[in-house]
Amino acid sequence: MTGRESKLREILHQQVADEVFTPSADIPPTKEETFEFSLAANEKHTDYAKLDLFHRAVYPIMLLAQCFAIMPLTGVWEANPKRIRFAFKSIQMMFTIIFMVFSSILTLGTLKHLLKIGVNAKNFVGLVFFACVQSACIIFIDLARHWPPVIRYWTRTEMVFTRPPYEIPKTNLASRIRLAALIIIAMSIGEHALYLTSAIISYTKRRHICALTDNRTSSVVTFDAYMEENYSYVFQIVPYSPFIAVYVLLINGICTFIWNYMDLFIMMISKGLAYRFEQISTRIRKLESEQMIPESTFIEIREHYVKMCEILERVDNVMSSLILLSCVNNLYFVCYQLLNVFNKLRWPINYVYFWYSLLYLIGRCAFVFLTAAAINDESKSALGILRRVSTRSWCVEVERLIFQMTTQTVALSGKKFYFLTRRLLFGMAGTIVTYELVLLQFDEPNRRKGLLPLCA
Amino acid sequence: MKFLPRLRIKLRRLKKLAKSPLLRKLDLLHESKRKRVFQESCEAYQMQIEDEYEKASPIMQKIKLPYSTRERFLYDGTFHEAVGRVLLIAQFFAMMPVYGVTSKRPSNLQFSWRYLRTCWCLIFIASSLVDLGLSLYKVLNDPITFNSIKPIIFRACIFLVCVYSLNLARKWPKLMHYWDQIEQDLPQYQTQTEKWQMAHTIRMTMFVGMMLSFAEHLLSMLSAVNYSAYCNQSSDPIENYFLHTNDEIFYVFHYSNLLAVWGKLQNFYSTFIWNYMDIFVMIISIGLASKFRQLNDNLKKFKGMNMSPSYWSERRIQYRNICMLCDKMDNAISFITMVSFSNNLYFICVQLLRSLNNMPSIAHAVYFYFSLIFLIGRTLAVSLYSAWVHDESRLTLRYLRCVPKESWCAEVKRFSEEIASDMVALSGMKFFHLTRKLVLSVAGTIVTYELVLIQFHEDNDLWDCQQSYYF
Repeated sequence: MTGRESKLREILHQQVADEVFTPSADIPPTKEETFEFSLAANEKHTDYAKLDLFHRAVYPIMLLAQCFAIMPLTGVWEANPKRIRFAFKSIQMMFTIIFMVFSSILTLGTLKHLLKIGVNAKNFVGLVFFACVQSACIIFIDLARHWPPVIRYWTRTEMVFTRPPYEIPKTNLASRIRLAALIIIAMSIGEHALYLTSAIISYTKRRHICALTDNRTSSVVTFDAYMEENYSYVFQIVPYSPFIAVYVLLINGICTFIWNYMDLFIMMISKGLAYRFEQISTRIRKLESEQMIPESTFIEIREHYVKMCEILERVDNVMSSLILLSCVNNLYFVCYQLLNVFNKLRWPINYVYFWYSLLYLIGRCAFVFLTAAAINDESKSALGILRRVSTRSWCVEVERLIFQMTTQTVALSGKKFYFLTRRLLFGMAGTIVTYELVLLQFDEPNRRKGLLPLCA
Repeated sequence: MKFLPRLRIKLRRLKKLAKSPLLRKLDLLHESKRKRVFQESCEAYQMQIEDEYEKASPIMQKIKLPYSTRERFLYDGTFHEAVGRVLLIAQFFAMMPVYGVTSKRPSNLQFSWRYLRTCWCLIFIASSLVDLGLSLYKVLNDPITFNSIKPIIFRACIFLVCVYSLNLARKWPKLMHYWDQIEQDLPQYQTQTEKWQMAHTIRMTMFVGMMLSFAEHLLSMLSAVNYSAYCNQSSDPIENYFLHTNDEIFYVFHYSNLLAVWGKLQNFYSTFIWNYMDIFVMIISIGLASKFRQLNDNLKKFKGMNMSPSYWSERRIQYRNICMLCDKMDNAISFITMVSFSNNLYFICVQLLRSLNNMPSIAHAVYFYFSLIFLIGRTLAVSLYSAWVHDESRLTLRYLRCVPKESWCAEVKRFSEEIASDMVALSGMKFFHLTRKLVLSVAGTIVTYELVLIQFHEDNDLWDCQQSYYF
C-alpha cells in the first residue's frame, strides 16, 4: 500500500507542479496515466497564450490589418478567444467607415474620369482596383461580424490537437504563418515603393525633356504639380490642397494593403486548416510501424477528422465570398498585366517596375492557390497508409475513414461553385492562356503604334 | 445491513476515513473530474443548442405567418397546395390547363379536352403558330444574320413550350398524386413556420419574377413608343407603334385595328410565357429541394446519436423515394429546362453583343441595360435554384458521417454508399446535369463565345428602322 501510495503521490505532485503539460514528450504517457491524472492539468485555467492555436498564430497580423482599417474586431490581442467581439460602436469600426468614405470619393472620381474619356480595356483597370477594394472592405466587415463565434468554435475544437498523441511538427503554426505573412508584406511594400519610384522618376524626366523642347512648361518638379497631374481624377471632384494630397497618398497605400490582405488572409486560414490535417496524417503514419492497433485509435482518429471537416465547412461558409472576390480579382489582374507584356516602355525603371509587379502578382496568386490546395492534399495524404493497414487491425472504422477521404472533397470553395484544389490551378492557368491568346490579337493594332509622343 | 440505513451511512463514513488522506484527495479529484466532465459535456451540449438556436433564429424570425384565419392555418406543407395559385395564374396565360389546381387534395386534379381552359390553350397555340409562320416568312425574305433570327427563336421557343405544357397538363394529376404519396411518408414538420417555408419561397419567387417582368415589359413599351416616334412610317402614333412592334404581321397584311390588338395580346402573352418557363423550373426545384431538406432536418435532430437500424432503414427508403420523385419530375420537365437554358444562353450572347453599339436614346439605353441585367439575373436564379436540389441531396452525407461506432450497421453503410455514388439532380434531357459546376462552365462558355463573336462584330447601326424590334 505504501509503495503504491508513494508512487501515486509522486505522480500527483509532478502533474500539479507542471504549469503546462508539454505536448511533445519523448515517451508518450500511457493511457492510464493520462486518464487518471490529466485532471490535474484541468484544474488550471487553460493558458491560451502558450498553446499552438490558430488564434494565437494570427493575432499580430490581424492587429496590423486593423491599423489599415480592415476587419474591425475588438479584443484580438487577448489570449482567450472568448474576448473577441464585433461591435458597430468601436474605434476600429469608425476608422473603417472613415476609410470607406474616402476611398469611395476616389472610386467616384475614377468613374467620372472614365465616363468622360471613354471606357476601354486598358483604362478600366483603375476602376476595377477601387471597386475590388471597396467590395473587399465590405466583405471583411461581414466576415468580422461572423468571426467571433467561428474562432471560438475553432479554438474549442482544435484544443484536442494540442495534446498528445498529436505532436507539433518541426515548424509550428505560428512560425509558418508569420513567416509567410512577412514575406508577402515585405514584397508588397517593395512593389508599392517601386511603383512610387517609377512614377516619380518618369514624371521628373518627362518634365525635364518637355521643358527643353517647349518653353512654356517649367522644369521645376514640385509635389503639388506631381499630385495634380497623376491624381487628376480626384482633384476634379475635390479642390486641391496639400493635406488632401497627403490623404490621397495614404488612402492609396491602404488600398494597396487591402488588395494584398485579401490573399494574405486566405493564405493564413488555409495554413491553419492544413496544419491540423497534417497532424492527423502524421499520427496515422506513426501507426504504420505498430503491429496491433486497437479499434479505439481509429474511432478517435475518425472522430477528429470529422471535427476538422466540420470546422472547414463552417469556415468555408464564412469565407466563400472573399475567396470568390479574390479569385476574380487575381484572374483579372493577371490577364491585364499579361496583355502589356509586349508593350514598349520608355525608361528602364518602368521595365523594372513592370516585371517586378508581374512576377510578384503571378507568384502571389500561385502561392495562395497552392496553400489552399494543400488542405485537400493533406486530407488525402494518409490514404496510402490506411489502405495498408494489416488484416488484424482492420475494422469498420478504417473502412469508414477511407470512404470519407475518397468521396468527400475537403477543400475551401468559392461559394461552392469550384473547390480550391491543384486541378483548379491547372485549369485556371489554361483558361488564362486561352484568353490571353485571343485578347492579344485584339491589341495588335494598338501595339503597332508604339510609344506615344511624350509632351502633349 | 439494508434495513438500517442510518447505520449504513455512518459505517460508510467510517470506511472513507479508513483510507489514507492521499487516497481521499484522489477520490475528491476523481469526483470533481467526473463532475467537470459532466458539466463540460453539458456545457458543450448547451453550447450546441445555443449555436443551433443562433443559426436558426434569424431565419425563423424572418418568416411571419401571412394568414390568421383557421383555414389558412391548417396548411400541411404539401407541394400541391403551395403551387396551386401559381399554376392558376399561369392558366390565365394559357399554360398547363389542369382543373382543380387550387383544391386541397391532388385527387381533385383533372384534365379533359372539353374544359374551357384547354380550349383557350389550343386557341393560343394555333395563334402562336400563325405568328411564327409570319415571322419566318419575313425573316426568310431578308438577309439572315445572327441578330435577325432573334424573333424566330423567341416565337419558336414559346410555341414549343406551350405545346409541351399541354402535354404535361395531361400527366400532371398522376404526377401530383405520386408526389403526395411520397410526401405523406416523409418525417413530419414540427412547427407551422417550417411548414410555410416552402410555400413562402415559391410564392415570393413567382411574385418577384412577375413584377420584374411586368416592369421590363412596361419599359419596352416606353422605349418602343419613343423609337416609333423616331422612325415614323405613318401619321398616327398608335399605328406607328403597332407597325413597329408587330412588323411581321403588317409585312403581309394591311394595317387594321383588329390585327393590331391581336398582335399586342400575342406579344403580351409571349413575354409572360417566356418568363414563366424559368419560374416554373425554379418552382419545381424549390419543391424538390424542400423535400430533401425535410429529411435532412430530421437527420440533423438525431445527429451523433445512437439510432436503431430500423430508423436508418426507414430514412434510406424515404431518401430513395425522393430520388425517384426527382427522377420522375425530371423526365416530365427536362424538355422545358433544356429549352429555357438554350434560350437564355442565346439571348445573353446576342444582347451582350448588341451592348457594344451606341444606343439611339436614353430611354432605349435604360430599357436595354435593365432587360440585360434582368436576363442575366434570371438565368443565374434558375441555375442556382436547380443546383440547390443537387446540393441538398448531398448534405445528407454530412449527417451520416457523425454516426457513432456502436450504431453503425449495414443499413447506414448502404445509405452512405448510395448517396456518394448517385447523381441526384435535374437535367436538360439528360445531356447536362444542373449543378453549381454547370453555372461556372456556362459563364466560361459565354465569355469564350463573346470574345470570338466580337471579332465578327461590325459597328454598323443595329438600330435602323428596318430591324425587327423585339427588345
